[in-house]
Amino acid sequence: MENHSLIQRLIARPEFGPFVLLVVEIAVFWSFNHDFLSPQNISNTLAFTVELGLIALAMTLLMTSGEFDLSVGSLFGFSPVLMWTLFNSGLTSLEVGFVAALLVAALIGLVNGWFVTQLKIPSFLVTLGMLLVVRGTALFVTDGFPQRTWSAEGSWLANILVGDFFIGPFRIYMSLFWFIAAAIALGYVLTQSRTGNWIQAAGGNPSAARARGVNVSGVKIGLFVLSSVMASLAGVISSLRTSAANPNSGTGYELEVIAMVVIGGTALTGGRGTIIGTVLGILILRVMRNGIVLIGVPGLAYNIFIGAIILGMMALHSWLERRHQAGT
Amino acid sequence: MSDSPILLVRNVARSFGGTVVLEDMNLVIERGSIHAVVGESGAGKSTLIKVLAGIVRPDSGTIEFDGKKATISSPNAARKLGIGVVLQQPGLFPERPVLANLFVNREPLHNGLISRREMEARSRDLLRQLGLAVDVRAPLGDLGPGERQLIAIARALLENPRLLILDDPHSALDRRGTDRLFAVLRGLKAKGMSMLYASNRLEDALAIADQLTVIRNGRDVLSKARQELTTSEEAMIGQLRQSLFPLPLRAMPTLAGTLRPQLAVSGLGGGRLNGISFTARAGEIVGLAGLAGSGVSDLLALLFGQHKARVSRVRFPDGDGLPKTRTEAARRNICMISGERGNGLMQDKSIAFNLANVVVGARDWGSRWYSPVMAVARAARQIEALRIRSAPETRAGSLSAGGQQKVIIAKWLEIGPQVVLFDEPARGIDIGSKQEIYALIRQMAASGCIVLLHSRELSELTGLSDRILAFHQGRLAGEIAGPDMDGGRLLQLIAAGEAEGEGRQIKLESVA
Repeated sequence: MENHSLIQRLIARPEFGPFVLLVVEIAVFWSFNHDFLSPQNISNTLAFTVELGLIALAMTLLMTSGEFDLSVGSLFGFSPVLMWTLFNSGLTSLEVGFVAALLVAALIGLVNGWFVTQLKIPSFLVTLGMLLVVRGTALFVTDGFPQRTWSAEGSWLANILVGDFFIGPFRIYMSLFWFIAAAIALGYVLTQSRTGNWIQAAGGNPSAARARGVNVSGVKIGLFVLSSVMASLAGVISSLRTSAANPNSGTGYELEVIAMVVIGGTALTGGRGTIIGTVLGILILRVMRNGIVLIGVPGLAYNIFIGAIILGMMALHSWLERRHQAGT
Repeated sequence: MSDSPILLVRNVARSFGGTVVLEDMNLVIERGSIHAVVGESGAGKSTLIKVLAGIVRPDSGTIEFDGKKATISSPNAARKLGIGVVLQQPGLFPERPVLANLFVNREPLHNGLISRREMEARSRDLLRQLGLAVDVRAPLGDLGPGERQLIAIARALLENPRLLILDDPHSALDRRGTDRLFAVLRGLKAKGMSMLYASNRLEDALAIADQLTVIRNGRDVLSKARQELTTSEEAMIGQLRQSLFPLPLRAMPTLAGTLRPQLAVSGLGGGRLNGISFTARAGEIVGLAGLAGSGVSDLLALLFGQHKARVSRVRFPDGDGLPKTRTEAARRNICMISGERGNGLMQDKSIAFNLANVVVGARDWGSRWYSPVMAVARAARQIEALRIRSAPETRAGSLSAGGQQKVIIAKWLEIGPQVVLFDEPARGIDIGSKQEIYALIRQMAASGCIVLLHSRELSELTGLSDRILAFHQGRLAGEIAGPDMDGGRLLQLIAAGEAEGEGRQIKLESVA
């Protein structure tokens, strides 16, 4: 039992499958088109990757606790709209608008969590409802028009969040560092902290967790708030980088984010989650989107590949699971 | 002060809905002693323990812990008092590593991070004492049921409780595991810990206990120190248990000598099972005994078409082999009645709908379409026959556990079963319904069904079966029948895989 070699132990890790997939994917795209690994393309891919990635990191924790959040896509669109509307109307400075947007997002997360834990409504229904409410609000407030965003140039908030600079030929945005910091912090929380054990216990066996004194509802509400705030932050970062605040942006992101998380190996039913896997899942899907366009497949065919990857990964997981059980 | 008992339970009562589970319960546990509570399942043991664990609140009565009046309002309150509890369903996390299971929400922190090293250090000695040589970083799901049970006990012990409560701790343990557990418990007693040990195996309770309380129908009927227990009292306790079971009905005489339909299994393999051979004839009840993980549940699943067999040499009375699916099983009049209700019943539909033709899936009932009139008529007939005591329109989920089980039995009776598989049919059912269900099982056998009955309660097996097949680690360890049939021998067979003396022979015969 004990003398598994290092390689065997690596293969047994849930992150191994996604890792292989990512390597294969990169190799295939690179062999078709060497520009795929050019500094410019890598920089482009990373810029947007980390924005969706921030949402996926929070979603990993939430899904490990056995819930998920469909309202993240509409928060991604709503928060920058709120921030710019406050700023453009002259009511607040940009920074105050930013804080207000995050606070509203936290409140929305709180409401989600309250409905799910106190009224015992499945998170699918609660967050589906919230998705429509938030998107509807964004559209109503703006009459459906994008907001003016060009006045942020040089604001310190913009510099901290998305300030860009060059490392060699790579154009790097500050958001990459926020993403890395969030991944490390949440990875540690999930695996090394007591909170992480609460999250996994709450998702794995809620009644047993309660019997051991874990505040299951509290954990879930906290994670709903985290998920909303991260989606809101991602939306603001994206809007500052592209100088756009469109009330329609972020449509469909919720499903892409959930796909990233499950491809990485987190169980949709809760109890088991991995941040490393999610990072791999994020890269797999974003590399796929970028690479498909680059090798000349019509971008509209992207979803076919994403769907196939999800189905393939799920089939692999279930096969491994069954083989594992037959082995014991 | 130090002479006062550690726990005093006085006149505790609790009922769920209309069913009285605890009527007038009294219990005194002396300091530093092991107190056994024995009684049939359904007698109120588990509820009493849940009251002490803070999971269930009593309706009335008082509890004193350590000489002071105590209200145990939550699991946390119980823990703060120093009560450690291992429930029958211990609430573990199969996907998480063993270590994480041992320290859920009690993780030692080092600079704010969980210290695996300290967790290992703290648990190492305890696990060794319990005889657990497991990889503590492997997921708990990789462990066998016995090991998992010991992990649950270790988890409770890690908190150094003053009173340790164990509910039926050996239900998943084999002989060696039980011996080791007893050794650990005696060691803890020597260190001054008090223990409450609930069990429905009288033999085990007598082996470990200093004091003994027998409970029945939610009352304590006898409470004595182990040494003062006379042999006649011991026999009486045994008899209390036997009186539950109806006398065997004579099988239909026409069937007796002639060619009776039979289920022949020769060399069946699948799941944990290997090379299982036996025959069961119409009109008899064949008991299947075995601990969790022994393969008995695999056998039932195979016969009902839930799992695929590796080697299937089985002949059902209709001449065919194993059913491939559950639907096929039902079509061929093979039915399964399990103690896990819910998978046989639509909780939010009426009794009538649950018995309707579209649900039961039987052929030849006149119409392919759902007819409410027919369904209600059929339900009324079964309600009358099985004394379900509800209207046909009642939601199945609103019935008591016993009532629900009767509806499931009624459903299968409607298709005229030929082979009936029972998997702990009376789990969690009150005594009254239990007796009725036992009588139904007898009736089904007497009317020419082939009945296979599995139960974890040995008294249920010895009380009902004509003969018992004992399983141990995927093999048929032996068969006992007639006057040999007593709990002790059976226990030996299923726990160790052999009986003393001729045990080896039986084992060899069954393999040959």
